[in-house]
Parts: sequence; structure tokens; C-alpha cells
Amino acid sequence: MKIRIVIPTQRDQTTLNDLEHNYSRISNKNTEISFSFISNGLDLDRPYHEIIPLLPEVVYKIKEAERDGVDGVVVAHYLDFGVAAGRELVSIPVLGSGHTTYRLASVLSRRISIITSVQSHIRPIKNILSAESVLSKVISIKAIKLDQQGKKDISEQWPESLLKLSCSVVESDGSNLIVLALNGFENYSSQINEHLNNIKKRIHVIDPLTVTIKHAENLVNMKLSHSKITYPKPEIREILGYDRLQFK
Amino acid sequence: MVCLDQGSDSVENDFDIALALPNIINKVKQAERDGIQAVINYCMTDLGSQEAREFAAIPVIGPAEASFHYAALLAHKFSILGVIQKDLVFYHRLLKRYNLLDRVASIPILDIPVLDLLAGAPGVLDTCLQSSIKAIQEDGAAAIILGFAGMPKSLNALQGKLKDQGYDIPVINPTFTTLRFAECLIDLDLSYRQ
Repeated sequence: MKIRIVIPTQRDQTTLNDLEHNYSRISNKNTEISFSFISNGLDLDRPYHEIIPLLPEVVYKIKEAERDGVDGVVVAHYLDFGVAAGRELVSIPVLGSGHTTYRLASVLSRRISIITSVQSHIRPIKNILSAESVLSKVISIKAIKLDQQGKKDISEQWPESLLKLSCSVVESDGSNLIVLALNGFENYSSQINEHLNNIKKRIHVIDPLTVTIKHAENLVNMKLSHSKITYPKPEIREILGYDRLQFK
Repeated sequence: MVCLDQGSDSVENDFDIALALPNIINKVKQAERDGIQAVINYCMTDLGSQEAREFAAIPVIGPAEASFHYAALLAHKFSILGVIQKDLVFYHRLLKRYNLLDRVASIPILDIPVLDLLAGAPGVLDTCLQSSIKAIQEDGAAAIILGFAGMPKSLNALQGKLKDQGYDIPVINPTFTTLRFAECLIDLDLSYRQ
């Protein structure tokens, strides 16, 4: 089985190698994982309006994956960037790490907290939660605040701030399941889990990409894909620009 | 795989549920003691799944919940093929519980006794095909859930039959989805108890 992970963010080769190593470990033995990323992709913490222009490129990557003979696609972004549009163009299953994870979280808990990196991403996250009918189970959605004027470098502040906010949503908001709606922090879920368990809090901290890869494997195994009634193929017509997305 | 020691031979009403519930909880507790990592409660009413979670830390999964989860991931609206009239009540309760009432297009009832269905009564595939097409055309269904655990093998062909008719939509088989969902939770070290 071949699963393609589309990453709409900037990643250097070392990070990609780490990702490949980590996710090959958690996937099934017969799963071959490949990555596709957008070379001029997003920074980790751009406001929502700045990342919208990259949508067509993500859709192209989904279409390309099907052409490459891949069995399933995962879009590794918690805002499900390009997932709905991509589903209209291909028959293979396409999952976004946002809706997949929020749905699973809602099955497991009624007191979910979502931690994200950017304040302006909270509204689109809420839109996905509403569409998935899971908003009522989410008790807080919080963005990490970094001290821009502080002595510490921003990158150094991340782990500490993430841990602090995770403890806060558990202790103050009463959360018992945390979704890390963050890009580039795939390895942190286990660390936070460990920390919370050490202070006697049995909390699940979910890494969306891991969850979504597992779901993609399941769909391929069960020969299931998205509904072509919900995501019908667009009619063939002329499109201005976007040469690589022309209907042939 | 274990069966209940007491109760009726199929679950078709609240009376059957009342008889099965205590036994299910005992079976789940026993499974956990035996070192089992997850339990599938193989009945589309998800009977006892929530209650059993109070007694066991391992995931206890109901086929309806797992099937709704996958259907909601793949389509904006789904229909559930119920077997008997009482299924309307069961599914209404479950959809309310799982907060998915707004995602259901319809619950067509096949009106076939559960035991006849399990025995592979003739014409089941055709009945399901016709009910599914009606649900798509008249109710707006974009995915179909087979609303019974332990379905006859002939229904594996339903997704292909619908595609032949021009409806390329997922047909969720609770048996497979629940097993896969259980494996997924085990692999991810997740459970309902936090």
C-alpha cells in the first residue's frame, strides 16, 4: 500500500528525513510512505489569509499523487488545506489531518482542547469543527503566545510554551484530550503526554498526522473512499491560469 | 470471540438490551483481565459500550459509533439501512448520543427479521440495492451504512453494484470498520478513558 503525505509547509531535508523515519515506524509493515511538499510553502505560523494562495498547489499535489499510482493521500495540515477540492479531482481516498483528528477526538472525549500556533487559525478550525458536528465537545481552542520581545529566541520558546499551555488547558479548562493543531511539532505529543502522566494526569495528546495516516491505511484496506456525491468531479471547462490543474 | 451466556438470540428491542447488558459488562471485564487490548461489542445498537467503559480501561467499541465515524469522514450525509422498525428508535438515540443527527439522510428499514438476515435470506442484496438507490435519489444520501452486524457475504458486492448504477459512494460495512477502528486505537495507544 502506498500513502502520500502532502505537506504544505516549508521543511528542510533533515526534517523530512526525520518525518519519514518516524512515520515509517508507526505505519503498517506493508505501507510505503512518500512525502510531497511545496518548495515555496508556508512558514509555520503565518496568518490564515497569507496561506490561502497556496491552495491550488496543494490540490495539484493531490492530483499528482493519484497519477503516481498512490493508494491514499494525507494532507498534513490541521486546516485541511485543499482536501475538499482535491477530493473532487481524484478517486483515491484523501484525508486532511484536521477533520480526521477532530472527529476521532470527538469519539473519545467530550472535553477536548485544541492548541494551535496562530490566533487567526482559530476561526477556520471552528468552521471544520462545525462541519464535522463536533464543536460542542470542544471546550477550548487556544493559540500559543510567544514573547516577541523576550530574551529567549522564538524557536527556544516553543516547547516550553506548548507544555505550559497544555498543562493550563488540563488544569484550568478541565480538558482530558488535547489535539496539537500545529505544524512541525509531530514529536511533541509523546513528550507532553509523558509530562502530564508524570503529574498524574491521564490525558491523551493527539498528533494529527499519526492519526490520519492510520485512518488512510484503514480506508485503503477497506476499499473505501470519499463519496462522489459529496465530492462530484467538476465539469470539464476552460480554466484561466493554473496550467497544471487543467482538465484533460 | 465470545458470546453471551444469557439473553435472547438477537437484539431487537429494549427488553433484549436489558437482558444482555449485565452479561456484556462481565464479558468486557473478563476480556480486560485476560489481557485483551480492545473489545468490540458486536451489535449495531452499541449496547453496553458506554456502560462497559466505566468498568474497563481498554477501548470498548460499538459498531455503530465506528461506522458513523468513517461515514462522516467520507460524506456529508449518510443513510443507515435498518433491519426492523425498532432500528429507527435505536439509531435515533445513537445519532443523538454521538451528535450526528444532522448528518443522517434517512434510515430506510428493510423489514427483514435479524435471524433471517443472518441466515442469508434470498434477495437481501437486491433489497439493499433498491433501498440504497432510493435513499440516494430521494433522501440525499452520499454514503450508506449497513445497519446490522454480521451481514451476509453477498452484501460485499453492494458498493460495486451501486457504482455500476452510477453512484460512486462508500458503503460502510460495520464488521470491517469496527475491527479497523479497534486496531487504530490500539496502535495509537488511545482509549475512551482519560
